[in-house]
Amino acid sequence: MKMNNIIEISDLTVSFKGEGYLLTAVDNLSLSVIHGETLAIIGESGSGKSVLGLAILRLLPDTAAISGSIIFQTQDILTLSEGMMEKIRGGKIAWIPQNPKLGFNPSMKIWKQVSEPIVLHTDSSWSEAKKQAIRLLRQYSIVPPEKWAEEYPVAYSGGMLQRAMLAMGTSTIPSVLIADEPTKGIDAINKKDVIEMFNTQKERGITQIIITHDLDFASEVADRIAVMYCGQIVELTSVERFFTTPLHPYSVGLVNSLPQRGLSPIPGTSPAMHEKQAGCRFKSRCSLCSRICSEEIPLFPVGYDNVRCIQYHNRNRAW
Amino acid sequence: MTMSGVSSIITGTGLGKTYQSGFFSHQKTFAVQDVDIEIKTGETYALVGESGSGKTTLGKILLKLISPTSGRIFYHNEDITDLQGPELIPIRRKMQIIPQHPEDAFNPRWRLSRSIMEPFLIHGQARENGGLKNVLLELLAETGLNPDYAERYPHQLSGGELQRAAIARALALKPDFILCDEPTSMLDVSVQAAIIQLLLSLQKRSTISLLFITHDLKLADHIADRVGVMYNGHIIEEGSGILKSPMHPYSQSIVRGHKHQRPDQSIPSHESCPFVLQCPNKTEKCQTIPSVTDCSGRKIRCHHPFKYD
Repeated sequence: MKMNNIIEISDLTVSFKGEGYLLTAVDNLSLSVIHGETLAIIGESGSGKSVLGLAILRLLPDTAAISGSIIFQTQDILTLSEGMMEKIRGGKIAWIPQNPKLGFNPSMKIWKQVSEPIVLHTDSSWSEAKKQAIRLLRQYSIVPPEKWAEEYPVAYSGGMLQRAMLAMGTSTIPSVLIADEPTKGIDAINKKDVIEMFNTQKERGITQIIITHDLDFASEVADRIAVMYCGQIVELTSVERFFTTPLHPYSVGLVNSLPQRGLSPIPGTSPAMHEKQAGCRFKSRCSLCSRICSEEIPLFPVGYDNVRCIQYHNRNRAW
Repeated sequence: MTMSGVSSIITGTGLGKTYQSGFFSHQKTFAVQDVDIEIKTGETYALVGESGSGKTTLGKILLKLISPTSGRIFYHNEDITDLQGPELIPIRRKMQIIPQHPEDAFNPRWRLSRSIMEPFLIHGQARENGGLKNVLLELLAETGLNPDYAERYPHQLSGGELQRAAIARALALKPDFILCDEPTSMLDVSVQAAIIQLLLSLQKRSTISLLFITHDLKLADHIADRVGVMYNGHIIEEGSGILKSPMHPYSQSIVRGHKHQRPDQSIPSHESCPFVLQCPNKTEKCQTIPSVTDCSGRKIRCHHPFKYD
């Protein structure tokens, strides 16, 4: 494992067996996360982003078949005992779920839920943890924190719940924070708050993996962008180069779909995940598709970036 | 695109909506306050604002899905405010809604064909079986859906496909006004672009007026002929080019990403400017509510709008 990497994923495959088919949600994926960076994993619904996040935390159901390795600070997460995993989950790697309304227990006061990871992962008592929870709520602009700490989740607005969820996720100062669609359903004004919060965490040195399909949000918080399509990473690049010179035709299509870039949709739809795929997964939607695209294409380096497309130099002719 | 000289399809004057809750209805929420709005034939009008600013309530009032507490609604210059039950049916045919969550707008136990064709049955326009089937196939083709999808259940479609089906259902009775309530906020960026392009192309072909509710300022700026900015139940600025040159201090604050506190909606803003507590430019004059004035082609509710030279 390289010194500056905090997570190294190698040949990770996650599949689910259905009646008469095998659904491969993450397909032979390799990825390194650098210490202290904010990595955005983008892609459309069903591309395997959330499954990848859940695999890192080993939160997938027993029906998932997992192979490969996920090295976190020298330990392979996939081989750890459940007891060891419980120490990592919430303590060293925190998870912010997609829907904060479902992430909180509706019958438990907010202070108790924010304090819970502190009590579980440190030697603090409940009263000490409560004081810390109130400090965290204030830090995340939930004011007055003493009042809001005593409320139940139902009293919070969507944006406040998202902030409370971040307070809970970072209460043990984790090394890595994985957030799943943190801006989904949040209005433009509250989104500014969420951007500010993630940038504050970055300053605190927390490594962040943000799973999102909100490109504007990714542009504001991320250092690097990994583009996922049909369970594979098709491009890994810096946030600046993703928006100025994306390499993969799919990335070019995503950027062109933004209102400020003309609102041009990518033709067609993603192939069904349970269908057996061969060669480039994007070929059915790509105007550059040629015979060579039916062969398996690896993610290969181009300058500082990585791309999974033989014809990347013609990408701007794709649309 | 200028809309001057074009007739209005729907107009609201002095619209207000107060929700009451709690014991003896003592808690009040002033969701919409003294709003004048006019949507012209063939126009795309985007209503933007933060959550809770009254966008959806205003849209539903115009569609007569919510009764206003005050004000009048006109459809093709006919006052429809007091119409009830059967009197509304011919108007309902012409005004449709595309919801934010299409998965909640379809009966999970019905095939899409039944859901999309339901408006014909409700409005007594059931034709012979062959005729209805052709209409269904036309609607699916118009919205880019495979004809086989007619026999699928909602859970067998993706979010984007289901939103297309919701658009097909909204188009079934050939409406002339559609309320689009954040129809793409839950969709991926490429699917969002496809749905918006579909709506705009349908609008061009059939001269439908769209009231597009969104909190995505860039999207509103790109697709709309005019944008109305809502704050605390009021339309505080209305016109075109607001994203490039906002004139109201609130519009400026959301375009530039400045933080501000949410307004207290339990207090009516009859007396002072609704943005007075947050406004960097406030003066003593702002303790009185400003009227809506025309200013450089915009309608603005502010005593001190920013003027561009």
